Amino acid sequence: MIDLYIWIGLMIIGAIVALEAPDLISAVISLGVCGFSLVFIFLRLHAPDLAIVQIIVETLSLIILIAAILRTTREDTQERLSLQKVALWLGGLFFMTVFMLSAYRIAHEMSRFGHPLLRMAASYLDMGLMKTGAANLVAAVILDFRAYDTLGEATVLFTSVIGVMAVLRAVGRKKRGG
Amino acid sequence: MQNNTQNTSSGMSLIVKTVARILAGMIMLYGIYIVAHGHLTPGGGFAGGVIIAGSFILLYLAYGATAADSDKRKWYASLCESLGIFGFWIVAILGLVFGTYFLFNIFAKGTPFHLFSAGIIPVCNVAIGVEVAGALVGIFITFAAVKLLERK
Amino acid sequence: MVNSIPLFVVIPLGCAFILPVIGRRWERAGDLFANLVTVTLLGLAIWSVRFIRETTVYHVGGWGAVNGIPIGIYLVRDGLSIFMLVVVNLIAFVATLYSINYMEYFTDKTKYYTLFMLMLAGMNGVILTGDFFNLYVFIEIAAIASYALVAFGTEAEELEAAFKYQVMGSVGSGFILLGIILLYSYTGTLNMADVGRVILDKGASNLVWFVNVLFIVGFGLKAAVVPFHMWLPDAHPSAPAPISAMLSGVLIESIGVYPLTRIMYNVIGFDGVLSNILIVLAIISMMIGGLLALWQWDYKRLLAYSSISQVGYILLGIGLGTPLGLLGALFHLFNHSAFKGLLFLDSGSIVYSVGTRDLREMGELDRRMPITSKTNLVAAMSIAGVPPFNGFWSKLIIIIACIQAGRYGVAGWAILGSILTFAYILKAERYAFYGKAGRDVADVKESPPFMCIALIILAVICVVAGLMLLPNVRETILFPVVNTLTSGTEYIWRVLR
Repeated sequence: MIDLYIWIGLMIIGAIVALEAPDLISAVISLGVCGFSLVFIFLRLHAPDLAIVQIIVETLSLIILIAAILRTTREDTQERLSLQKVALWLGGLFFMTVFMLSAYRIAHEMSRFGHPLLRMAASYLDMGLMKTGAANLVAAVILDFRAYDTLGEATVLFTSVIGVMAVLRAVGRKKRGG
Repeated sequence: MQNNTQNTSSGMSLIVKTVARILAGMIMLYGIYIVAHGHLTPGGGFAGGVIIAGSFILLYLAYGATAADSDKRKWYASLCESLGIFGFWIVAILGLVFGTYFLFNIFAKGTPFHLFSAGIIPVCNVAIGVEVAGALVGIFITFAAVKLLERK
Repeated sequence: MVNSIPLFVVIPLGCAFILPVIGRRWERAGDLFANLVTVTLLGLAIWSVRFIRETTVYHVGGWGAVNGIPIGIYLVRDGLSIFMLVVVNLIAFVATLYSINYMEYFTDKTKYYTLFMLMLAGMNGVILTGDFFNLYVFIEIAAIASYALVAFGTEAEELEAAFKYQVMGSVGSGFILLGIILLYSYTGTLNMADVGRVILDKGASNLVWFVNVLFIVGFGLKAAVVPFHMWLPDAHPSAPAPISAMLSGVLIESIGVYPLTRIMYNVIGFDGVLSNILIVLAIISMMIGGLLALWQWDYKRLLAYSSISQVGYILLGIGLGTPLGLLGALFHLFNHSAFKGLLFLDSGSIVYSVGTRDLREMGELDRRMPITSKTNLVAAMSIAGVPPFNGFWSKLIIIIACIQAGRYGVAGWAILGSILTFAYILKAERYAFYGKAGRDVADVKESPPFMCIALIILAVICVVAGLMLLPNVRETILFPVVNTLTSGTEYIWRVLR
């Protein structure tokens, strides 16, 4: 259990450094710390499917982000300490406090960590292999029982790629206006 | 400027290129394995597709490309992406066409633990693999090939 | 025909997937296919109205319930879903028709139509789903497509607006996802009806309240309810006009107001505290949106603020929770889609012909652009609540519902809100069409034919929509929709049976 806390702590630190680092390359690398810690959490929780996807996606997104940074600029926009920034920090702190206190009050109502009592779990285990023929139960769930969600997720990826290609067109309009 | 054009057309050093050439095939093979055995072992279309995309990106980084090349490759990547997810869509509506349910597992289930088993699951995995590989290569080329600040 | 249910998602998805391939060489493919798809979907939606009294459940993949516990994903078609489907697909049809001419402005129409189809599929998916995670996935599809569409012009301010929209949208999605995760952990299931059943069994708890708050913030961000509205006045004006019409007319309703209403009424169960929260948010939205709209000189920005204010009306009716309030809210939702869609399309026509969004640079357009100016007048009268038009009836019903519920103060705020609406729309009307021209308008021409047809269709709907309140019609169309909400958690048993 304690190792999970270490990885989660690393993730939080990585995320904060990524926000505050003045050099964008170090920000991206701190983001990598965040992502690779998640890989170990997935492995620790016996989810190799997720770990494989996470480790490769993290690597590729690091490459893509760094390629984009090398094409543009390494400098983050510098903000001086202003009243507005202090107010934002205080607001954020207030929000986090309220959030954490409420989360603490409801924590005991959630199912215990590592013991999720899914109502349909028994059916999946009983029928998974027989009804779908897939030896990998995860594949049986994501591509048969809940294949509609997977179609949706593949569509999310498709949408974002088409969106990126549309937004990064060289010329947007044929004439002025719009 | 001279140096710059040479750089983009010829990519990295000979050692990098040779290693990348040898590795890319193996990485791709591994990706194909992950996609094909998605219904038997951990992995599947998403994981395998990303690995396949990785092999292409490795080659791209090692060899570099001109703007014209990039445009063509972006189109191929986009084509792979569209056709891949369109394949998934076709498999999904087969159930509707043949009078059962949308996304019904309509193919024969086969023997469990064999490569050709589990009905639509491996077919969908292959379709997703092609889509994901195309999508990531497309995104990489879009971000890496366009000089973001200079396009206006 | 149960099989028609998934078609609302399948058809636009198929079109979106194949368009990038066939549209590369064939420029007109997008125009043709997108319009075919939206006509088909509108036809299907109107045809589905005959099932408005029934609740039909579709088991995706044929996975029904085992021992009474749903194991697959359910699609649920009931009165409210059918009503929303008609609204969404109607506006989508008009917007694609309008796009044929309007999008000549922009490069790469094919990508535009692809993203449009994805957004439409996302909204239809949200409306039909009966599963929490599926809801989230389709919200993301619709939202991501809309981020890209806002930035479709790729000018600096459009990119900035889209970036702002994306950040706020992601925060909203994060809240929604966290809420879904907590519910999943609490109930052990993702099916909406099943979640509702477990909550009924376990009784109310702090966790369910926490989830309620998360959902109000998350969907409030998607629906641009004040204090979560900052992204909307930038994002909606920046998009191309047909997309502005889609975003303001139906997107904020179908991925913001609709899921919130569905979850509050049919899954978790509506009560007095939630009602008060929604009413307070609604009043703030009406007032702030209306007041800020009054200050704007950018026509599309004025309309965007007006959307915030009008969504306040819808939320007010939903927050009241009485049958009359819900009737008014749903009717106003329909009307808002029609007149706000029409106003944004009109603003697009002005931009197309005059080339500016600044009210001070327009003027004297009533003679130059007769169709645009007449349709805009119809829409303006509707939104301002002038008697024969549809907006009057829905606002009247909401105000009567407030009085009937004994909330006189709230009724007062609603009346004040409608006076504000009248003021800002009068300002826009006066400066755009009748005032003295701030520039040379001699060479301004009426818009191309498809744009005019789209405007006329929506204007006719604005005029005749009031007929939905006629005695026989309202019993067949509006009352079953209201019933799906007033029957509350009976939804659970209708779905699980």
